[in-house]
Amino acid sequence: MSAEQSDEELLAAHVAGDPHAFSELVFRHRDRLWAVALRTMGDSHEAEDALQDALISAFRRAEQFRGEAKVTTWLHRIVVNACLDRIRRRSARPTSPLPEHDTHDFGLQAADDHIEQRETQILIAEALAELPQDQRDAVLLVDVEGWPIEDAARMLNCPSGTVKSRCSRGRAKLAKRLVELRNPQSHDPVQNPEGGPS
Amino acid sequence: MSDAEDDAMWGEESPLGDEASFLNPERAPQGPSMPDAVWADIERVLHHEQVAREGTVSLHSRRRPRRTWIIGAAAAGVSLLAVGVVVQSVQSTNAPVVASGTNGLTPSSGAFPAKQILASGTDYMPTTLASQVTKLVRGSKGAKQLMAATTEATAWPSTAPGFDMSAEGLRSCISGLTHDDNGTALMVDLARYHGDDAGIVVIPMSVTEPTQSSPAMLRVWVVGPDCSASHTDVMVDLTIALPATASAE
Repeated sequence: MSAEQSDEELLAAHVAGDPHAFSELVFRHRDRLWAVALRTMGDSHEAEDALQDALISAFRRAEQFRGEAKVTTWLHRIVVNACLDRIRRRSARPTSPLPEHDTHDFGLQAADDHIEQRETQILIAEALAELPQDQRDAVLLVDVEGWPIEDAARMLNCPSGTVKSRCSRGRAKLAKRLVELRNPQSHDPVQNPEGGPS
Repeated sequence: MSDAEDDAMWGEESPLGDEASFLNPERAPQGPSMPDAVWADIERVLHHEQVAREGTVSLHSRRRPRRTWIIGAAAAGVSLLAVGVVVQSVQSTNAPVVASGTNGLTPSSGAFPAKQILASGTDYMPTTLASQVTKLVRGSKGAKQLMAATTEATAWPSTAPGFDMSAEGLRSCISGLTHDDNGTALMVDLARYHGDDAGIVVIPMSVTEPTQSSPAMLRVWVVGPDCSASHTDVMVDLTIALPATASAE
């Protein structure tokens, strides 16, 4: 296999039946994919499980890649979604503690900042995880990755207006949920069931 | 909902702001490198996926219309014969090739490509496969003794319910699984898996004796009757750790 093959060529080779192409593609970007899984999950064991879920999904759905974004962006999005799915599934369980950090290299303030940043990231991941899939996809593309509405609409195979409404609904839920997650006392324990079409 | 109504809902700022940039592939900060152990696990998972992808072809081929199947069986017979000739030439300086009886299960002499061959009649199940194999190894000679054994089994089970494979077929299958013409399994059980005819092939992943801190690692393949050197017909591929206490029994 040529070392010069692009990511797109490797993915196409995988779809065509090359048994080694997908592994080579993942190996090429393993550190980047690992980093996003670790940041999103906050725990190395959970990150590994989520990454395996994601890569199995990508392996099976490779023929659905349409080349609108880079292969790395596509892979990255699948990893993020797998992480969020895993967070949603575990949401019924007690919150897992933040991973222990080696604070030798941090000042006390830096360590506090680091923990605060991790807490924020976990809150955001939990709030995103609770969005319906179509709203989450729209929010990830538009608000997180910064794609123009028209491009996101093409990727999601729906009209631009639908992307806008999904983003709007998703944002409204996110704003409410982030307030609840940041202030647990303000959260009404009796939740209303999800209502209305997405 | 119309586009006009969709547009009317548009305009509020995202509550995520910059705080979600850690999820942005273009803006995400550098993270730690993937540990080697994590990559090894991922590589194994992807290998399983690849085997499963290839196995889909096998399942489809089993469901061919009967007439095609007969032609296929004739072709397979020819190719099995060809494999047998290859194996015989490769094996000529090693263990003698088993001469099968009329049903392909009764050798006249020689050794088989496994240290122990059973026909337990067990129907292995997906959710309990690892524990069933562990029990199988513990219940026979034990992994430690089997690993230490220097000779291959010389007796073929008198009855092999369910899984109909000749000794030559098994040799071809194991060479395909191990990518080694002289590959030898620790144990083979000619049995069933989830109701289907299947062979359980157990191969040690290391040659060192297991200890309390370092269990024996066994690779277990569940293969269908079509398993051969050219097409392994793998249904399941997993690795199990056998504690020293279990393997010493």
